[in-house]
Amino acid sequence: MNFPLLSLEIRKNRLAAASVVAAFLVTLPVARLVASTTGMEAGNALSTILIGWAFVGLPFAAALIGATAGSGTASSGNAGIEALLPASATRRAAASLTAAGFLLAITAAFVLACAWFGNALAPYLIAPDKAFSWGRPFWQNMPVTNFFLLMIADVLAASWVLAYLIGHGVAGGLLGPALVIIESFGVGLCLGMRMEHGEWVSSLAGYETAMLAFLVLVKLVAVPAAARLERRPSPRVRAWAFPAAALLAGPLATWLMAGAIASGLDARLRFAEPAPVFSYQSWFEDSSPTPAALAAAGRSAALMSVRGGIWLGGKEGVRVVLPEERSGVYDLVFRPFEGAWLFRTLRDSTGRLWAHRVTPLRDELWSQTGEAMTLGRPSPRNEWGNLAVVGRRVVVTKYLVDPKTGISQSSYAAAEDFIHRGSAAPFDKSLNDAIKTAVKAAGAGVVDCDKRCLRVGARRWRLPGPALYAGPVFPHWAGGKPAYFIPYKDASGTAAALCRADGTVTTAWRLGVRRERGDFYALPDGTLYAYQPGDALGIIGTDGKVSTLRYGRLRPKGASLDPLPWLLHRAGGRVWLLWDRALVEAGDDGVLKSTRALPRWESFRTLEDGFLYDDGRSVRYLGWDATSRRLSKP
Amino acid sequence: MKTLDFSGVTRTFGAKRVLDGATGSAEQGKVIGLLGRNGEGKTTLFKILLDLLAADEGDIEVLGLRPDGSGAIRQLAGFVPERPSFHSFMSVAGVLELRASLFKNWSADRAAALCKRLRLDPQTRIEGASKGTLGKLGWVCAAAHDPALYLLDEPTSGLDALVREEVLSGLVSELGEAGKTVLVTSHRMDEMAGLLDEVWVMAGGKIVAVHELDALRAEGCVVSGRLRSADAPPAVPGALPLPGEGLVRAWAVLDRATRERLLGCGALSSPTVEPLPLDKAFSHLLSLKGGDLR
Repeated sequence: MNFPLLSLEIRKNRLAAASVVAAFLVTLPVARLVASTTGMEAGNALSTILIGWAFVGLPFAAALIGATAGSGTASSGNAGIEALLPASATRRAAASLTAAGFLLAITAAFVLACAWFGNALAPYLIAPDKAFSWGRPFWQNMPVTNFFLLMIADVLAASWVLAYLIGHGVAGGLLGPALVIIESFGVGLCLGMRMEHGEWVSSLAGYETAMLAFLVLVKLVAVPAAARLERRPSPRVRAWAFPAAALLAGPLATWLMAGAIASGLDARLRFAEPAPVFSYQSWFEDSSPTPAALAAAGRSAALMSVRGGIWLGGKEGVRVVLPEERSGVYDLVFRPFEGAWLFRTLRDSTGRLWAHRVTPLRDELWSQTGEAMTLGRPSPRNEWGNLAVVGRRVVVTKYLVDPKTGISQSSYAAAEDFIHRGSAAPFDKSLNDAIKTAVKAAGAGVVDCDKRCLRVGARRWRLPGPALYAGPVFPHWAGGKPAYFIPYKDASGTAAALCRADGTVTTAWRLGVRRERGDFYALPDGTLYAYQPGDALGIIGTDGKVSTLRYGRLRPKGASLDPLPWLLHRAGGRVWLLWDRALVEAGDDGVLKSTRALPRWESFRTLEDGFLYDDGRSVRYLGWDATSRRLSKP
Repeated sequence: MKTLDFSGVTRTFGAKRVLDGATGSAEQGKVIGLLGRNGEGKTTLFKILLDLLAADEGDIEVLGLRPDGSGAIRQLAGFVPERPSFHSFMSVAGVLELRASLFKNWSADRAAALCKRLRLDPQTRIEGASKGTLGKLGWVCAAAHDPALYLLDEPTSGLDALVREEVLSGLVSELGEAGKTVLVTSHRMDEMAGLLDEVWVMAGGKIVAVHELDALRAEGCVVSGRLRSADAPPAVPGALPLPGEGLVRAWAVLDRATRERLLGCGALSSPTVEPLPLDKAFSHLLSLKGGDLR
């Protein structure tokens, strides 16, 4: 970069930047006027103006500064002066564009600094958590910063190039942002599709930010091509071809990428979202699976396509049970308004598959009959809310407002009833009542008021310490018999007492270890496990025996303690763990047998003969016998 | 050694072909006047030689360099445009400072000396500066890096008589003596006559004639006489008929051979030969249209 040229360009274009700053300063006192005329608090009015400057004013400033610099460099007056200097047109153009970027950076820094120190953006830009948030300062929230800065850079570059090519500042200032809007529509489309369909989107730092960087790059590529036109003022097709192609490459690339994403989404299968299972155990998560649901996990899991189809996938591949409803590419983007999509699925205790599919006009309840799914009576859109399991019963739920009290509560109708009657089915009981009924029907116990014992009918278990909660407790199955896990307190903290059908009470495992993953988990065969202190898993096998697996030595290379291993399977004195990007096979005694590397995965489902995992592009099966296959739409 | 060498240079603007195979070459140290009427392509030729414009066709070599858009030729050549212009927010000193940072051979001392010689105040603001001031600054900018080749497009335009004299008898004269190659256009070529070594005549986008100034002075003449026959005035290539009617006619002749052909054709009785002043010779050259008269 030639600094004399750069400083020359900065001097030439400083007025544009100064005018932006002046306009910014002039608008600040307007806040008082806005406050007095609208009744808004002065601080809020100022915040609104500052936020407007940060998010709207700066892109506008980018267009103004870029177009001014571009047209200034191209203008016949300046060209006549500067062309005589011993520098190529490309160097002069590069200096002009760099100067525009420099002035915009200074202007943006000033505006953002004022906004920041004015504390205006604080409510919007500060958040206590470390996750992605609009609430972080720009310089801390890098994905947003990158995306926002690249967007502004794109506006600047587009305005500069077009103003330079056309030789007119106003035209460049209008057409540049217009080009960016066209491109942004494609980028937004990509982002919208990926977010809408649950693609892995790490805030804005993914493909879309890279695409924005590419868009800026193609405009920078257009600069030397455009500069060559200075020596060839004649409007020749060949001379114009490259800069025009470079500018068109942006929108074209975004639309091609959007098309590729749409095509990929269309071909993709992913795990169907499971419906909640209500167990009414206040100390477990509401979605903790009940034994009934676990028993039905079987040899295949429900997979879905983006257009509302359902496939069952496992070792044998996939087979469709509910064909998808095809409409058009548009519904990939605006799915809630155009296309059919799958909301939730579940399997009941008999293994029957249920699905809640949504279309723009109606909610559909599908149930499995043999190999296919049949549609119940449809109901208008949003007539009911969710599909769920209460105890062993499949229900549809709905929020109803009690006319007497005005309190809204979740009510339910039996799914079987709803299939035949549709929206005419009565939602006459609250979900809480249903859960209580289900709990009693399933042989629920009750922790006594002194919290010292559990009673189920006439039977009684004395707890090792006072229970954390009183009230009904839903049974689990351990060794094929009902068993109750009661959280209690002792000198060491909290633990779960395991009350077995034979009247014994033992400590199943300590509580509070890695609570972020809940307190215990279940495998398809009924094995239960929980995380324990000292890198160990507490396991209750299908035979009801309690054992401990120390997994510290099994850690695959490169895997940290966080994420922790998931227990996938336990059979024949061996265990299979999914740990970070590896499948670890070990003996029950914690001796490592083998480690198999896996790609990055996002979610998984455990089956009887293996497990499925979603690597972000497709769902794959990996069996305990090491067979593997990719599950894709036939 | 050739400082400037170009052949077959063409350049079109839209449908108009401004240069149509222009060819010329200049030896080092030559001071050449480029004669041509308005719109004949002189300025376009200058821009192409300075690498400001790309030629559509043709071979060009300037100071051993071929135009490539890099600006390297402008690093070695000095150019005085017809209407010099500079950034209005600068002063004369600012303009010179900018150029000093861009030209490798820039000499601040030389620039200062030129300013002093042309009575140019470095503190003068460009905004509101007179045409003469801009013209002087144009000269300083063209000469302060001591280029080997000067392209002067109406270099005295806008200068007052005193400064014009200083430029012509001083600067241009010294350039020639210093072995610099100078290509100059002027609508008042006669005032430069004493400085020129050659005159190139441009017409129809080509260099149609090249004349040594010494030869033009010595051999240029007006041949007049009475026609022996009113029906057939002689048509001798290179002899330019002067306006006239009846039997008495006159021709401007620029070289000895043409004069001999005209006198020897037998069409004139009692022919007379009178010297042709240079200003008249230039006027006659400007009237040339196409066709190589070398």
